Amino acid sequence: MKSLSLHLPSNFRIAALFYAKQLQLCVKRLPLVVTTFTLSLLTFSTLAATHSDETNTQLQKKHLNNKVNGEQINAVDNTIERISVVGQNDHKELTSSGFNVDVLLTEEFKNSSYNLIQVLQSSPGINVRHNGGVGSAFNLSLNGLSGNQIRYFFDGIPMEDFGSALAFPANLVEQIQVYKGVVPVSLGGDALGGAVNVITPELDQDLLDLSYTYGSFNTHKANLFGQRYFDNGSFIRLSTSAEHSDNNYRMNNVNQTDALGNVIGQMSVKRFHDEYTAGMVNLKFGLINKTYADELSLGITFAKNRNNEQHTATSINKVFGQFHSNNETKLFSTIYKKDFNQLSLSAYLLIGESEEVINDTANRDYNWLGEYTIKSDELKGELSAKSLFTVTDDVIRGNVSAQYQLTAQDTISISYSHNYLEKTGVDQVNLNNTAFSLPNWIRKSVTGLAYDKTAFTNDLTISVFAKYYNYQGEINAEQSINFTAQNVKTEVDLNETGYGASVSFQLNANLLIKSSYENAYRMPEAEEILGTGKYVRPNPNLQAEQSDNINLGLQADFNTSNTVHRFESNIFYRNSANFIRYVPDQIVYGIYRNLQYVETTGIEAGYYLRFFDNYALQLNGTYQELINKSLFDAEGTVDLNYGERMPNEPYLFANARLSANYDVGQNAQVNLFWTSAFVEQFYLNWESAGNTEDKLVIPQSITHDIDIEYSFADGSYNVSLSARNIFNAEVFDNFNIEKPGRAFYLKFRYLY
Amino acid sequence: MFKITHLSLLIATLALTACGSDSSSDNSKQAPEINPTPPVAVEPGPFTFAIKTTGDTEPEYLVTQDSISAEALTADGTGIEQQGWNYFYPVGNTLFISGYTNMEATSYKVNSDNEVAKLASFVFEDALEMFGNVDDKVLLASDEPRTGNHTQRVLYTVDAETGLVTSKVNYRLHDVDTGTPGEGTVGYATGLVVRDNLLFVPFHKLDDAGYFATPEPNSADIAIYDYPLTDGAEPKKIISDTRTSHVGVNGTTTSLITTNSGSMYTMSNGSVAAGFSPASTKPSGILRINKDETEFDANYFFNIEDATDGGKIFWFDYIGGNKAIARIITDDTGAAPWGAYNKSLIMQKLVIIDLVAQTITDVADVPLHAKRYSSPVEVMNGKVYVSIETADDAFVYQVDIDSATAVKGVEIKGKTIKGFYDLYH
Repeated sequence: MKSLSLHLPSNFRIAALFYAKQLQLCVKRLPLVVTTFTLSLLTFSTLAATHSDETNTQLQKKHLNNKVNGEQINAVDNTIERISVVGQNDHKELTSSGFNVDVLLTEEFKNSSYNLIQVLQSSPGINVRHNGGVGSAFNLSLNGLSGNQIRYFFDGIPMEDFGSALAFPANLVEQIQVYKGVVPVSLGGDALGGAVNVITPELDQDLLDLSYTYGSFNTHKANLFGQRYFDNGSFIRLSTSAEHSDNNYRMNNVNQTDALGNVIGQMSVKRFHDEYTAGMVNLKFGLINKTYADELSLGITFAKNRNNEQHTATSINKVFGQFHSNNETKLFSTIYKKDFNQLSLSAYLLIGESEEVINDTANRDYNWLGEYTIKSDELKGELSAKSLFTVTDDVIRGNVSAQYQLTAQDTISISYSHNYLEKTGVDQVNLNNTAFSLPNWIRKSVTGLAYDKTAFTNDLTISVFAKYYNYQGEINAEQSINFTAQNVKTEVDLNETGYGASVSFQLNANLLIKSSYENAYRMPEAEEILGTGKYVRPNPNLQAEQSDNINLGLQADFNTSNTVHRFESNIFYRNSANFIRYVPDQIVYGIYRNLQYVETTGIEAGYYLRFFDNYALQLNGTYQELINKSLFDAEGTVDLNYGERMPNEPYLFANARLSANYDVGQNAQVNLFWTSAFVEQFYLNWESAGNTEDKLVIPQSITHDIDIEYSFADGSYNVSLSARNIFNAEVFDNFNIEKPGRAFYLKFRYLY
Repeated sequence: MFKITHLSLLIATLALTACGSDSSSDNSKQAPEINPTPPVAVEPGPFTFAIKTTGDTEPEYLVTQDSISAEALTADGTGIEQQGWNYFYPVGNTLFISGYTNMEATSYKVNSDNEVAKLASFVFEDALEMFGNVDDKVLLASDEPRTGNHTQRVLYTVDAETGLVTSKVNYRLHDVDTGTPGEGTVGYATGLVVRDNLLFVPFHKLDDAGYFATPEPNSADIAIYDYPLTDGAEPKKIISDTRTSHVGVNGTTTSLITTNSGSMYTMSNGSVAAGFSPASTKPSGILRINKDETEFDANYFFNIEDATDGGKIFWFDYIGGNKAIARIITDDTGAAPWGAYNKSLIMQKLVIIDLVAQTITDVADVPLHAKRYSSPVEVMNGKVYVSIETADDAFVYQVDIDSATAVKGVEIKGKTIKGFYDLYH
């Protein structure tokens, strides 16, 4: 079998279309460039090199919707049976690697009102649960693991502890890489269940992208993304976003109460204290393509939000009318990257501060109608004793990575990441709240080593890697020891070594098989191991959460003259131990312990069909069994739920997206999308206990969205009308906490 | 977009549930074999029980069944599911369930279809943690702010017939406020008992910095109010006795009981295992307030430690005839803080106390066990049903009051039964 290798950076997407004996190769450089060209394949072994150069130099920058006709040269019979895309130096072409990674291109979502988290849901194996509308807390589950078991990265920089104000405007994002269960060492973090890496556009292009969205619930979103590349090799990028939503959507089943709190019925009301307002400015500038650096840049980010809370995270009975939080985040970063011939280096340093102020200073008691009574006790706030609590996270984060190409087939890489966090808490109102009042910090470092090999003319790729985690921390806290309050210092030191491997094999031109394994760890969060200083006690013996993650997947591509098909499926297995759980063992005092054991087996599948160039269908579905494998509970009592499905976890979900696009007149296009999402009903508690009709359930959820987009002037101007949850279904992700019903959004977008 | 969970952290730390354990368990060891015990027939008729299951989350179920002689007491496929950790408090034939998760108390009663069904519910501002009743007709419930701040408490009065709140008043319990947190104390109620037109509220004095410590543990204290309370009520009188420690233990609603003759009895524990910090230097014991009196009886003190060779009373409840059923911690040497609230201390024995004669009779054939929360007991045909939890399992025992003997019943497929109720008679 003969094949052609093109060396392309990772932000290039390549699609091969065979038309009779012609090979048409579509190279898409995101976000704005599509170049279509056809290759002449006379002596293809030399062409491989030639074209890799040409690809870099001859890309024509055109708007996405403007299809460019490249040269068309007849291919010689069936000389080429396969195209593989090989990473160039520090970049990796991910989808053909052994890692189970989904690369989500955000391009097709940029004209719509979806946010990035919603876009993530279009990847199989992912389910996102929201606690409300814009700005509400969410929990993303990836192959059964969720919360802080999933780590997030921004151009490879870990994002934990960056605060709630930080946003990812869709136009800042070129692609989202979702690593499922097995994460390469280049992302230096402790991801137990996978990682989401948000990638921004290449810096050597001039871009301008403006958008404004207005919609239901008084929602406004404005984004500006501009990037300028100068001939002297310098660049500047500005990304800003501002958003606001009243989130005053209707709750259809809240308690109607009388003045004494008696529930006298159910009623439908609008949320009245859930406004979310956020703004962010991100400025990045520096030099690229210099002899001493491919990139040398500085970045400054400033983000701020205010989030009004309508109710507590678990109960809609506790209604707030004033309770809110403010977050302010500042980040400064510098990045250096250089590819030498065989050696590539990259490094970053980031310093940041995130300050969250939780304000519970109104001594009022609200009901769902927005009416309140003044609490007779002026010391009481809405939730508890009046409190104005400021938590400050100071972060210092750095990474150095090197990759060395031993031969054309062998690469070795090493990466060291360092992550320091200091938490400080001050309550200006409630003097009894002394959480984080004395110095405390954690330091987490991950050292990774990987060896990558390709063989059999690149049909086989193998990667083996190991990660060494080192974790240290210290908390000074006033604690009640031997019945008197004393300053107590607790130090922790924890080390783990994880390892893994991935392999992929191109079985034939249409079929890729891949498998990966990682013995993964999540180190404890600061609060889990150090406590909060008062009520949450430190547990120096706390261990990291550990999981053996196995993926086995296949990708099949097959095309006919009018259709392009892609089918992907992945079987996943997670054997997870030592899940960290909070145990309130001393009434008001509690401690985090390693308690839960869970075994997850699941299958996810995705199918993509494009037909007649105008229509596309994307389907994906996931079925997963999360099984409780804990033999004993926190007290050592036999866990009677051993072998049962874990409660409060979705186990069957799917979504579908049908799209159509039509050229309408000169350089104008209409795109239509129908998107449906389904989550099967699941129980809040263990399945086997209780009368079925008396069980607390999160009901089956089915929603349908419609998007209509109109683009003109070669895609420079875009208008889209979106309708979310068009049938106004009452949907829930969390028990009894309803999500928004039908909503409309109008978005304008201009790009240069 | 990536939200810090300080809000939930606040909620978690300020409104903690009272469940959990101090034992560090090794979850990977093998499950022990459970020997099936032949069921013993005990037939009070349709009866109801509140069962807590096991596991990472331990949901609770209200189960009603015709017979206690089923193969096991279980919520498997049966029972009304509750949210989180709950208090179960019967008033007459109405059962109130109130917890920490949903800020809503629900009442249950036998309906016209002869089934135990939801009667009503009400929402509250802060978790209700202390309960009492008036003549089996009225539920009293109080919140118990735990932050140490000198805030007022709220007392809810609920009609047991309708399940509806009829009044809600603010009241003050005990506050010594110097302005500097940690120097003063706040009250933490351990009972709500109405006698005629007086409300008796025994309480712990906790530090006002919020450590939940007991800096002055060497007295028994009861606040007495005119009942019904008026808004902003303060005690008309606080009575104290230094022969024993603070009355009651956290989470128990029956630390002050009234006998048929109208005398009231308190129980005091005072140990680290029961949550005292520091421990009291006074012995665990029982005090009395005689009928129509509002002072402790100076001539009555039942020293439990003397009577039980160092034991400390952890729970009691009135079962008629001047008798109380009780649990005595036989040995709390070296116990961890709050150790009696979990299975790190399996040292409780079941006894019958004659309050007047001041005698203690061990209930025969009941093993040493652990038990942290019991809702008020109901005497059914001279019998009391109790949940007896040992290291590996839990069984129901039927206790005959007169003979102070017990029959081991069926296994409890769960962590505990919080209470057995006859809601039909």
